[in-house]
Amino acid sequence: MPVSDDVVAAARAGDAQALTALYSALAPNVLGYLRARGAEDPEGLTHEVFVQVLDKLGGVVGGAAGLRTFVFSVAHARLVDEHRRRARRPRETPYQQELDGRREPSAEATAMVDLGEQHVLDVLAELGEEQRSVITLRVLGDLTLEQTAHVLGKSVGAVKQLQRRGLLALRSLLERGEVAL
Amino acid sequence: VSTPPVVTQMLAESGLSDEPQLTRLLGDLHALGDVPAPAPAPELTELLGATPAVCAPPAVAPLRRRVVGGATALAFAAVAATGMAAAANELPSGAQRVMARFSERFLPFAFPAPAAGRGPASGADAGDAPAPANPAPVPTTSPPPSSAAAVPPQQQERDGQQGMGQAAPATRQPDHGDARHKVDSGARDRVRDRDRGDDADRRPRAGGSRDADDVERSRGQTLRTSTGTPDHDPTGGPSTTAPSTRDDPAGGDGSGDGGPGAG
Repeated sequence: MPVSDDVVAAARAGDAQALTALYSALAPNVLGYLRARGAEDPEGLTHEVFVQVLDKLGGVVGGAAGLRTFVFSVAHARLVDEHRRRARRPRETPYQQELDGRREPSAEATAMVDLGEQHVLDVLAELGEEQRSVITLRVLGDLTLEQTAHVLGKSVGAVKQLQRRGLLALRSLLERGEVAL
Repeated sequence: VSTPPVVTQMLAESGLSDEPQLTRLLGDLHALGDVPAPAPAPELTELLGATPAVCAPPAVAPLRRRVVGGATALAFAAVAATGMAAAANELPSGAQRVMARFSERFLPFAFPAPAAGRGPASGADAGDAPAPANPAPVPTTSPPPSSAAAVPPQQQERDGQQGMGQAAPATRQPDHGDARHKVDSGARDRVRDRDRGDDADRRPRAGGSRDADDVERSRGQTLRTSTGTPDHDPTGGPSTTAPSTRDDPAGGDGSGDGGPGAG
């Protein structure tokens, strides 16, 4: 369900149905963005993002586009916080998938999807931090150059340059066969 | 699989429109967002179903916090008021004496002790009064054995201070802090020091504080009979009932409870 200005206005007025519609429309993209950026607990972080967004929904301006920009601004900020928090940890136990009880028993199709997802994440890991931020925000957040620049606090020209360099780096990786699709 | 519009736009902006592998990679990246929304946690569920007014934090503190805060403020106010009244020597003599002793032992400063004549004014203070309204049981009729040995020397000293009898009431009202540091200037001072309880803790006495009370009673009786004036506080401590019985050398009403014959 696309987010319209009317839905945003109704959500700001406290309409429960509009709030649920906003969450249903934006939460998958936020979850995908956090997962693509390697968040430790994407679902939990998505929850925190929307708690903060709903708390400050009354101050959001710009309709649907403004709300989308605000949502991903919060998501990006929380992700940066998590990365900093993880950087301060003295030791980190490597993830062991077989010990993760949150995952349902994997079917073959699910395994293939996971493999495809992991492959995309591996490719993105080859990019620089800022290039990765620009590309994931644009693709998963469905943001324009201007919105991405607002989220990252950079100029549109800088974002455009980062986007171009990132795409060229990905193409180079694909052409050299270092990553296979 | 159709290419998401944003991917096409990105490639066009960067001049990379004809890149099938890159387009496919970005399509897979976009597919990461093609998942159902995660089930909201209870806190988020509450926010999604609530109106802004419900989301607003409560403006009033919980009842328990208010009760605890009020009780604490009340306790502080009571302690402060008692301390100020004690510093101004405005408490009833019993309470004033308790505060004075407490401050001497536990505080770095000392509240003034109550004036001697203030006690009998109220019924609650009658037990603390060194010179009660009815002095009859004090004299020789039934002196405690332990006080018998202690009284005579002091009595002698008091007898030697007969000339001071008139001035005695006036010298009682200064604070007791000065009397504590004086070298034994008279029996009254000693008795006063005993009454303060400091010496009672240091000196071994057979009768304990009871002896001090007996001595105090006999002292008051001696002064009254020798001077013929009521032992009252010239600062205004009323002892309205004392003079009629104290001044009667025959025991007043002749009730047989022992007149003020001793002295």
